[in-house]
Amino acid sequence: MNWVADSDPIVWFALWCGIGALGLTALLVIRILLLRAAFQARETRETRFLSRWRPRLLAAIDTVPVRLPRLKRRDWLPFLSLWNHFQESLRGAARHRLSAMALRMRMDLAARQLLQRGSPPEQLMGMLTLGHLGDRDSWDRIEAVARGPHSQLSLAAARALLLIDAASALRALLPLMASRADWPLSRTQWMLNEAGAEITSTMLSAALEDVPPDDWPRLVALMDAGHPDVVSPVIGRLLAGVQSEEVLIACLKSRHLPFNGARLLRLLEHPAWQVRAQAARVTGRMGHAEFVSALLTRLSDPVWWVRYRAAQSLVQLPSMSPEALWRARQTLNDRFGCEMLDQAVAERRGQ
Amino acid sequence: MMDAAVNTEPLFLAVQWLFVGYVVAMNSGYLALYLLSVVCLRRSLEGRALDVLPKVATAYQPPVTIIVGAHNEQASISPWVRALLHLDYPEFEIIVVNDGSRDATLSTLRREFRLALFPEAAWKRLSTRTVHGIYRSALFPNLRVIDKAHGGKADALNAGVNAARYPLLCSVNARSILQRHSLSRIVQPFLEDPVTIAAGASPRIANGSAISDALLTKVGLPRQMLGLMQIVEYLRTELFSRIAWSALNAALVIPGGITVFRKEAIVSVGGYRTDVMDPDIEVILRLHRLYRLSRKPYRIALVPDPVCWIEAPETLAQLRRRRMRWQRGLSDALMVNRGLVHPRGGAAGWLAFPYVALFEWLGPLLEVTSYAAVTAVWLCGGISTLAFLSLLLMAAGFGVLVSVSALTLEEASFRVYAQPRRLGTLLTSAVAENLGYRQLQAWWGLRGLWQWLHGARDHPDGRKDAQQKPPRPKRRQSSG
Repeated sequence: MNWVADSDPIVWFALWCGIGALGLTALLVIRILLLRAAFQARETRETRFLSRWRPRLLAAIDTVPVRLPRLKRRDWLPFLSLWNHFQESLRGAARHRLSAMALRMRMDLAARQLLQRGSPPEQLMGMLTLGHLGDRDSWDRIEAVARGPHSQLSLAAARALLLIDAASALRALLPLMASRADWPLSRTQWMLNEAGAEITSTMLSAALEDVPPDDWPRLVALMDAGHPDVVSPVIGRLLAGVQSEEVLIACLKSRHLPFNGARLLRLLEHPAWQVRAQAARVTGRMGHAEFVSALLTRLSDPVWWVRYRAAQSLVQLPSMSPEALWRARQTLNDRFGCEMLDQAVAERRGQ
Repeated sequence: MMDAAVNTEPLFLAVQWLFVGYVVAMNSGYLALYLLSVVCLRRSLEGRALDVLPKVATAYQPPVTIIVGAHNEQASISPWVRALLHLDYPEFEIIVVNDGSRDATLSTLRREFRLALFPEAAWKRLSTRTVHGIYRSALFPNLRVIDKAHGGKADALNAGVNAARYPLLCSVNARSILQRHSLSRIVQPFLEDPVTIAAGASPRIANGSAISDALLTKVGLPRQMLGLMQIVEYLRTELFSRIAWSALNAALVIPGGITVFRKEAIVSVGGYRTDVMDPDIEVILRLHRLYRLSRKPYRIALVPDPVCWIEAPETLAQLRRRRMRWQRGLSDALMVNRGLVHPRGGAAGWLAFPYVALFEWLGPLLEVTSYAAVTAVWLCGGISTLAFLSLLLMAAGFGVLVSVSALTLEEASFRVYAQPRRLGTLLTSAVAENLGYRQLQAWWGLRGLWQWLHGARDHPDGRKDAQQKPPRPKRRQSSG
């Protein structure tokens, strides 16, 4: 009754597939064991390496050792990882001594080699090292990476350039910082903060001319890193003249928003609710009594967030004592406004 | 007799081809996804070379609202909320939604966290069952509790969305076990890409691990083979294949252990649906569908790191219930969002949806039918024992290959199970998983599919009955 003979192609196919799959499985098991062995060997080597080098680096914070060994290629990455960790944690003269130590060990050459021929993690470490060493010779190569498509590498390259020469880096990179959506805003803001307000303020303000209006909201957000004396007038001018909702919102969110009561009162009536909500939030921070009437009106806004921000601002205003708030509540005809004011008062009391 | 033989031969041959075709197609799919995830993981891990350095940008992490639905959780709710309060994250609030508990969940919370009624102005962007009151903790200003009428998980989450103050929402299952860094990790895609609207994480199995104050502190392995096999299964089906789909922005199924959403995205698609079995799976599919169809740029990411852990079922009965429920939830979600197969569906509509439909939704039907048909043909004498064993060998061989591939990737990336003995245990489980366990899962999946076809649904409180569909939520136009 066996219509299908054992030599049927389908049976052979199944049999060989099964055997092939099991053979590949055996190879994968060997691969796992090799991975495990390699990982353990690397871990042991690195632990031994770090236990030897951590005290040396700690000592170098005070005095650069005179005699230092040359490192093997395989030790570059653990050394630079540790060295950069120290660089990121320290300030001032200690950093300079660590740099002197690295230069004496010719780690600048090692870092350049990692940047040129390394894997992406090695390139990252290489660029950060060159940044901390202030290696101007690598500028062009690092700038090329900064303009490249790889998000993480380009961002690390931008930071390295800022570390080497913040002013030149900002001249070259500010338009990129304002336009590259793949560079997290938080990380970019942090890099600018690290560069220092003295350098960034003027350039951020001037960049408005070079950056297309579509990128202004991001540029305004970056201006938080600038000095208020320099950046505030720019934001004030933008707030007074610009129509774009995104830019208005960015200006209203800015840490350096200057006081412009008349404009804020107009923005409390803006057709876009996001602008009204931001304006309502800002008025509380400004603390001027002239906003009370407009904020009370905003308590009847059709959008919950505008009512919420208006109520929060009202309870923050120094002129609004509990009695004044109670009296203001009595004048409200809108149920939603009363509820919102009650919530804001309760939140304030609970803080 | 000869006539009968001539008539049945093509049928027997077709059965064998069906079996071979299904096994080869399914496992080739897994292997292709595995290869893609190797590339994605390598890229992701390469970018973390500088993570060893002191953290610098934590102050810029956006604030998050964590929403926790609680229904009859009096025993576990307090330690669990305390664990959430200990998460390592700069700014977050917790909203516990007491979804009409009949036990002492609310009174426990009131006592433990000194809750007081709070006059919160309602903003019902999503319609929900009646909210009885909103409480605020006198001990922790970032903890609020919403007490509402029972409406199920989706309804509870929608109530939480209405009360959320922050731009990101984190939905956490009451059974999820987190680590202190979990929230920081899962928010990362939102920092990296401004069009990210959702990010999830595949859960890992917590059985055998050390848990302190409801947070996982040390990874371990379960003692039972059932738990071990689930670890391998989760690596194979929930982690590495989803990582590959995520790289194509087509991860349709993200388990709901912990998921972070951009609040405006959730509100714009109408919130969680209360008329589906598994609102977590459904909402991800709906986000894909509506964003693709409206051509809005978006990204739904899967974080590969181990950030969320769950207690795996320890008995076959529990496992069966979970598997059948999952199958019904997936069926609902796919049916509701079948419109994703659309000219604008992209990789999600034309690759991921057919794959999930064929191998995850209808997979149990095809698998059980294939095994049953081949066995029947063998019992009828249609194929020799050698042929039958060859077919089984192929199925098991491919299965073991895929499972061990997942373990290899785990070893090359996260090395969660670092001790050598654990590796041996998992390798054994990877083999054992293919000798009965997977087939059993397929059978339960088929039963789940059958129940779904016959309209069996779960009540939010765990009961099951037929054709009980709560009203669909409607998005309010007015914001007042």
